[in-house]
Amino acid sequence: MSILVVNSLKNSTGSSPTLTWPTTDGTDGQVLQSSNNAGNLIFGGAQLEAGNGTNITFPASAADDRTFVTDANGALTATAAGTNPMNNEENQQGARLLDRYVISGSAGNVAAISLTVPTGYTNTDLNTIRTMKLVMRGMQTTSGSNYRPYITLLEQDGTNFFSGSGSNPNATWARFGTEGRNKNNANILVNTSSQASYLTRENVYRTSGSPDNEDFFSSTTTSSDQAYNAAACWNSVCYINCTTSPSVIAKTDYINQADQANYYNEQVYLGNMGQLASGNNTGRHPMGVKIQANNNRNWISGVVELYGVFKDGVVT
Amino acid sequence: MSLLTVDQIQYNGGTALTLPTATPGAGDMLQTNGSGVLSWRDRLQKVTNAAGSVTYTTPANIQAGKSLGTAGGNTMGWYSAGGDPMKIGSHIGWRLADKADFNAIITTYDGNESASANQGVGTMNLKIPDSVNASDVSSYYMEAYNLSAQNGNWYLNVKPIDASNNTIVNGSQIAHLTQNLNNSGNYNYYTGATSHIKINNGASYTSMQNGSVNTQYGDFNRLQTQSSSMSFRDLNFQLQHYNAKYDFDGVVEANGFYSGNATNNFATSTVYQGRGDQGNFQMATNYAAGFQLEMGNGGSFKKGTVCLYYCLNDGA
Repeated sequence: MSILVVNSLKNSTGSSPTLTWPTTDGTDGQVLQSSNNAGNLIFGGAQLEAGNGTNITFPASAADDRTFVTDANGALTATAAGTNPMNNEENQQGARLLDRYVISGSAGNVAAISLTVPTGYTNTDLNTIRTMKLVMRGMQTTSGSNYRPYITLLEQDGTNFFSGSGSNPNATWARFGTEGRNKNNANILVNTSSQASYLTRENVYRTSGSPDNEDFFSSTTTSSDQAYNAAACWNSVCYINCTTSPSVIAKTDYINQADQANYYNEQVYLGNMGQLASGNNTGRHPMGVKIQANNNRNWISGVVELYGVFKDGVVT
Repeated sequence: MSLLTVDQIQYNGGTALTLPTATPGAGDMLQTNGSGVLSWRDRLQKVTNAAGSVTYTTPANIQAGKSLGTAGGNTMGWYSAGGDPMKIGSHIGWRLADKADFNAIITTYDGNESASANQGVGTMNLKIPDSVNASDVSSYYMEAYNLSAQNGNWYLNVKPIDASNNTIVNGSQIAHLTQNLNNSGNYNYYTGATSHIKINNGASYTSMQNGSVNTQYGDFNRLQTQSSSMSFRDLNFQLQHYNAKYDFDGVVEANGFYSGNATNNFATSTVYQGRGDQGNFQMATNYAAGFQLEMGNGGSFKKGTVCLYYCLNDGA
């Protein structure tokens, strides 16, 4: 290998500076730079500037876990990363979004919607989710009539929480609670149901006239039938008790099929400990919910969200 | 000193590099234009990772108060640091004030579970952070999930309190209008005035009936074989409170089970406000800084989650 041993280099142009080669090596990552305007070269750290030529100057020191924030002159300071505004001063967390599905467009016309707790939080300790709240708004199905929405509690992997088999095939005890209108059969007690927890006591109203199968979020068509159907969208909030023997309280408003009247009913479902799904008998509780409608109806529009309150210290 | 005057330097077989003719400033670095022409530069607009495989380009300019981040195509940009998603302009949405998160074996209400079983608390104080002035709070929202207690009957008292945990209510001057619906088809309403907000099944203030809670394991992770000593008869409520200094008002909705039959569930909606027949009186002595939840009829809370949210006045 040839080597040129020389102290200085110089361009032959008359005013070019003499560049004096450094006598020592730099450290890893350093660049060759001039130490002064006399052309003495040294190894040093590189600095940055913005595209408009303003220097971006890094601070002399920075503690761990900081972000660099600039002033108007490009001088960076190391500041504490923003705290989560959803937490209080004790770093406790309120309700957080666990899962969400918007029923519209290509995501519409679906028979079942499953929302579950993200797997990253609860692999080893199920009680990290203290409670869940399911919020459903603007819910409507494809064309037809006579349907009732219902929910099914799920495991985290999307399988049914209750077995629905055994000596008692009914997985949940369903009790109709209250409704906003007194009917002759108001004193109603439905003993059991298998998996399905109905959200409405009666069928939801929906005209089968045209146009139907409308996505009410995006449709610009106007017709009386469509207006009826859009107005008949139901809304519900369900509180899911995340214990091994879960209870569900569903609060639902809708327009009923029978007399097209506004209805509000609350229903309570109590889990049957004896009907936990196979292999699911040791300290587990539901980790999700599936939303469906009977009579083979598909969801055409609506928004469903699953919120959860975490045990303190699980999320930050 | 040896001086080599040369316009270009070329590694044997490599690219010829043309030395600069300009005089460098202190700290100036040699950079190439990609065509073998070297020039001086005091700051870099491009940096690479350690392996030199990725090159990042600095932002086009400086944006004061922003932090350095990455944009598409390995170009860096300025971004809002942290930020508060609950804030739009001067409007501030709900923030978590306080939270009680417990599972059968608590001795305190701050979310910490104690090591000993069979403990509970008869009262819980949930308040805004010390750094927040109660006078800056326009309203509160409190949501309670799955509250359970000891065996026997109980109801819930909610007391607006100041920062020192003292009640702010003057005597029995909170007027209630409670509408109650239950699964036996009954519906009724009740009016009354107390020193606190009552949450129960309405008429005559009868009690919530509750079963036992598994005090050894809690109800979130209990085993199926421990089903004999557990309850799914929980109380849930949602309370909205307008935080006026002298005449606050609000509404609370609750679900639970009323005494007399373990399967009887109820839903109530209660409007509370200052009594209208007292003339120029002041119902409260100060702004509420939070609420005390008290187990009416004695006893202790064993399980549940309570979140108190607050909404600040604009600019607070």
